[in-house]
Amino acid sequence: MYREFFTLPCSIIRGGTSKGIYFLESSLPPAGELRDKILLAAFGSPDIRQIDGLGGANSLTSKVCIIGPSQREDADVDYTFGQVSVDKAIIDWRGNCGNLTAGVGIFAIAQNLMKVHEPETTVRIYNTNSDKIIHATYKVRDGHVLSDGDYAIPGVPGTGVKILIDFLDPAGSITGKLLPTGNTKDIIDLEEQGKFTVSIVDAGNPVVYLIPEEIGLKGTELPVEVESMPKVLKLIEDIRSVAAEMIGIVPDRAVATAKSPAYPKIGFVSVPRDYVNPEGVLIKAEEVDLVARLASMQKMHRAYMITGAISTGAAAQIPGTVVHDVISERAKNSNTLIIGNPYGPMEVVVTKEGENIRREAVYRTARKILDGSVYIPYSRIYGDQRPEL
Amino acid sequence: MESYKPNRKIPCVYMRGGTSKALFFHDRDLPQDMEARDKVILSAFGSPDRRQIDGMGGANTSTSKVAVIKKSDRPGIDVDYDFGQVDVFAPIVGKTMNCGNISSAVGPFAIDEGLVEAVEPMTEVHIFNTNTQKEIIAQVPVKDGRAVTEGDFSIDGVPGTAAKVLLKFVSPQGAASGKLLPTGQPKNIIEIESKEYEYSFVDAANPVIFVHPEDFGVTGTETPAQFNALPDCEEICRKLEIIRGTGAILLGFAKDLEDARVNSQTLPKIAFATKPTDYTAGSGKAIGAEQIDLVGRLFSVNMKMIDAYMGTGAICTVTAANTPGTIVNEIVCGGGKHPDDHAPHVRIGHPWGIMDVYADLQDNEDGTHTVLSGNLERTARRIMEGSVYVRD
Repeated sequence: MYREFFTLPCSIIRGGTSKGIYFLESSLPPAGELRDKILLAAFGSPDIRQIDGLGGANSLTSKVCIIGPSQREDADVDYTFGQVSVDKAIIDWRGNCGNLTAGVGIFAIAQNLMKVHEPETTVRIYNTNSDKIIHATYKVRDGHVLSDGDYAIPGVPGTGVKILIDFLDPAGSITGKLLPTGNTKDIIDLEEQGKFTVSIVDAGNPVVYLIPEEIGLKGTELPVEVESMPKVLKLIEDIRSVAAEMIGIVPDRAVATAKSPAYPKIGFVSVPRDYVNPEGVLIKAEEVDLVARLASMQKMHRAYMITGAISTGAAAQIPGTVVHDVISERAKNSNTLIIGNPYGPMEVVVTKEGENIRREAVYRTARKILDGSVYIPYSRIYGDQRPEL
Repeated sequence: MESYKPNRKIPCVYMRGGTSKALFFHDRDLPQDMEARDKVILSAFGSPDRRQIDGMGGANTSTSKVAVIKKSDRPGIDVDYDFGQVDVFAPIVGKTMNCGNISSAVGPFAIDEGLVEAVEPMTEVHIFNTNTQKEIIAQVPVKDGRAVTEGDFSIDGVPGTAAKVLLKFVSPQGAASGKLLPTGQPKNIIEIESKEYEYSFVDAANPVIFVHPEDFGVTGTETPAQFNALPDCEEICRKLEIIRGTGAILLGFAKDLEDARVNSQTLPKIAFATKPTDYTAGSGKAIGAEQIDLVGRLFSVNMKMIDAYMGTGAICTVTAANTPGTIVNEIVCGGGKHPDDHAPHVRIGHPWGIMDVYADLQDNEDGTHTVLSGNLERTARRIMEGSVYVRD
């Protein structure tokens, strides 16, 4: 029978402030060009509107998660994350998405990949991108993960069930070291553009922290304000490019934007101050331990990346970093850090063993939006060379 | 302790129609009470929320659309089709108009879901759009029981090529007002702050008011980004809204301009129409004056210039082109191009490229032509099928 397409089972799940498409590892070919082609077709990439696929034409809604049973003693499931470029035929497999980690257990339990315990199930997740273990704990009843509850996170309307996401040994996710340069602070010299103080801290994801005043900002700007300043955005990207070279992610700063647009992340941090969030809500200085803004993929992040929060939580524990320099006195003597992101406060809990960071936890909500099958046209995969079926 | 309330599962299909995407439901799978139905649809889309992060909405007007389909009881009609524009920012499912782009996915949906018999190689699906109370005939290529989606036809705003779906909007005149020319005249003059503005108000598929961009000090070839960056953009939009609001009052959609601005944002539409001119489209493609019959710019809710062109706006434009004396007719048929006021094919230059629109015309004894149907060529594709989870 003539068929132009094949279908793949998948689920669309909101995890925190992101939306992802979740696939079973067994329903896809192994990692490689064919798998990437299939997934790009599913998302409708490359196309700035992703109009012919499931992508949401935005970095927060163009994400894929591949889940399978784990062979590891310390994990129930393997989880591979991919950032699907909207306008290029590229999937970046190098980092994890913390927000979508919250959806992994929902998918894994629905797919019977593991045993369920009531009233709570902890799913032990091996994230292949960062080579790290993450524990996500869900409320479960009658075999189903609950989604409705009374916990709110900034950037998501309404409330849901609180999900604990615990990142084990988060240091050195990509570079292998908590401080990839060995220093708490480095100076990046961009000659005419100036000298810039940075701290590079790799936990969850590598993040380059800037001092906002050094790049002509106050620190409390909202993402849209920063995005209306092309010179600042370019400067941020230039600094990120040098940092990417310094920590060995790319061989040369000149190729950082093209070859590693997503890693490292970059952001700026400042002392607690009042600001108004994009919905017009006043966030007060005393509600937060610092004000922070992050950029991902050359765009300001609307909220805050979870893996970014893990990095910020770790950086706050290290005297001498630009993060530690600005946090409240309360946070300097505490294992919790409340980050003032563009939408509001976000909590990270850091557990140390001696000087080593043993685990870091955040709270998220997640909800399954859709279960179904995505249609993949053979022509997107094979062009005119479609095999006989 | 949270109470156990599993989310409800509702079967749906996610489809691209033309340059839009919509969630398709069977009427039988949704609550029959309209208030309850709207609540389900809003939850499915994650509205209201500027990012629609907790639902299927794409945080954009062209990706926040719903279609509800059922087998029709009407004679000669296969399926009834309700269109809804799901508001991103407010808990509203707008039902005052149809979407021409999403109309192109209705035929393939009806065939693939078994609502009409699949006839090879071409199935003609007779669709009744409940919003406009008008018939649309879709010609869909079919093979082995399913709508064919692959082909070599391309439309601006969608990458690649696909199979052509021909849509005929039957007797499009008077979709909202019952009259082709709601003012009774092909052209009217309105005075705003001691300056006169000429406009043509044409109601076909959707009511659209056409104005000359030159009257507002712009060329009409601007892309939305260029238009929004104009220093007097706000002032132009204020005047456009006065003209649009005047049309809304005439149609009985609003009692005064303020009421029109607040409560009748979707209808009527207003558009710039000007003679063929070279410009660069938002896609970077150069559009040559010789490739088009007019340059059009449509405005949507809150006077936002649309990135491309609405399908129903194109039907209105081709009908206006065949209505003697309208601004569109003078642009398209003037200059000796179509000397007998006869334009069976109009090429609209829009911000993203070119849209072709056709008309089946009946020759009248007085030399005029009646538009029997306005025709669009689109492509459509089933992207996903499954069940959406909605909160109660």
